[in-house]
Amino acid sequence: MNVKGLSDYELICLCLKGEQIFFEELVNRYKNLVYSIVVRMINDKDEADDLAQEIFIKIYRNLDKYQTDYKFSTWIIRISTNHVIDYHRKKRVETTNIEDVEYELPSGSSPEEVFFEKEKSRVLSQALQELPDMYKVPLVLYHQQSLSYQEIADVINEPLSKVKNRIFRGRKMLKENLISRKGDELYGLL
Amino acid sequence: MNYMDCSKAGSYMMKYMDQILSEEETFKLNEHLEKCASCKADFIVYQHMMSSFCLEESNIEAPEGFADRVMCKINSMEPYKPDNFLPEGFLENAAYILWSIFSVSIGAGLLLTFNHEQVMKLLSYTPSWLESWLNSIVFNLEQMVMQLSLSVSAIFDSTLLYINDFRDIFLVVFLILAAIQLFLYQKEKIKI
Repeated sequence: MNVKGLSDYELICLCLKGEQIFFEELVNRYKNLVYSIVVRMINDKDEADDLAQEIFIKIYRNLDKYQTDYKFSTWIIRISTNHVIDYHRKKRVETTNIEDVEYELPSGSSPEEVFFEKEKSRVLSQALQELPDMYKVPLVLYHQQSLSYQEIADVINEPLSKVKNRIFRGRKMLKENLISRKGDELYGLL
Repeated sequence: MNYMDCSKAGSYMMKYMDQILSEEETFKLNEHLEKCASCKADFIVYQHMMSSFCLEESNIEAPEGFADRVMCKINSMEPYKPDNFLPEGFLENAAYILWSIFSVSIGAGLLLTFNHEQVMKLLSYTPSWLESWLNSIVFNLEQMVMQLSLSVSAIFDSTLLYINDFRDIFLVVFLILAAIQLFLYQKEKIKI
């Protein structure tokens, strides 16, 4: 059987019939998506690895609850964001190892450019981490995962107007946070 | 000359970040930024934000061997068990069959009750062995309907009595229960 040719829904049905080997294809299809969301929301690669694994276990355990009202990817993003929010609730992460996170930068950049771009990402990630989850989640999904307003509304199960509002407000809070940082840290990078 | 206030400029900056700012709006925003130092400072920070976001737009790759580690855990779990012990849809069909038998019995019982004389007359033309057998069936069906009608009317009477007394309270309680049920269902569906 050509596993790659099967749709997400067909793979889910096969898993529900006891053929758990087909879940591997779903993991391969969505591992980067889940991992990206987790890394961007917690900014710790080791912790992100564990959390992403837990999310896939949760997805497997709840496969029978998936309904085709939404795309499978939307459902997965919903589970991932909920799981990370729960993680934040359980464990208040005060310090984040921003330096451990390696960002992929365009190849061919000079060492100076690489440094400044890494610094820009670091400052932004740090500011983003300080936002409450209700603003951070829509911002990460919109600006970093390129989801539309409607897709985010489906993920967090809130009306479109609320999503727009949170993104607008989140951006303003992020801006205020960046401005309130030390001048040399931020303006040196502008 | 149309002067734009700072709150309008703020909403244009949001549109800029959504990449839906029209040419005319861009011109107006530029014009405002040239005159307003505070908005210009905000705009520079927003631009910085956007360029930083763009650096990380694509998906970050999961670590090497991630899928294997997940599958190792999945394989140690119980696989889903297909419900093979009953044919697909058996329970639904069984419910339909039982409901059909019940409906036919009630219907036949009602007909026999309402047309008792004619049925008895018809039975007198049948052979004696068949008459006694049919008689017992008719008797049982009539009894069943009688019992049922007595119970239903008793329940109906007492319900009506309560409903009349506490009609508004019942309605409110029912609506609250329905709302709670709907809320819980939605929450269960969303929160996994």
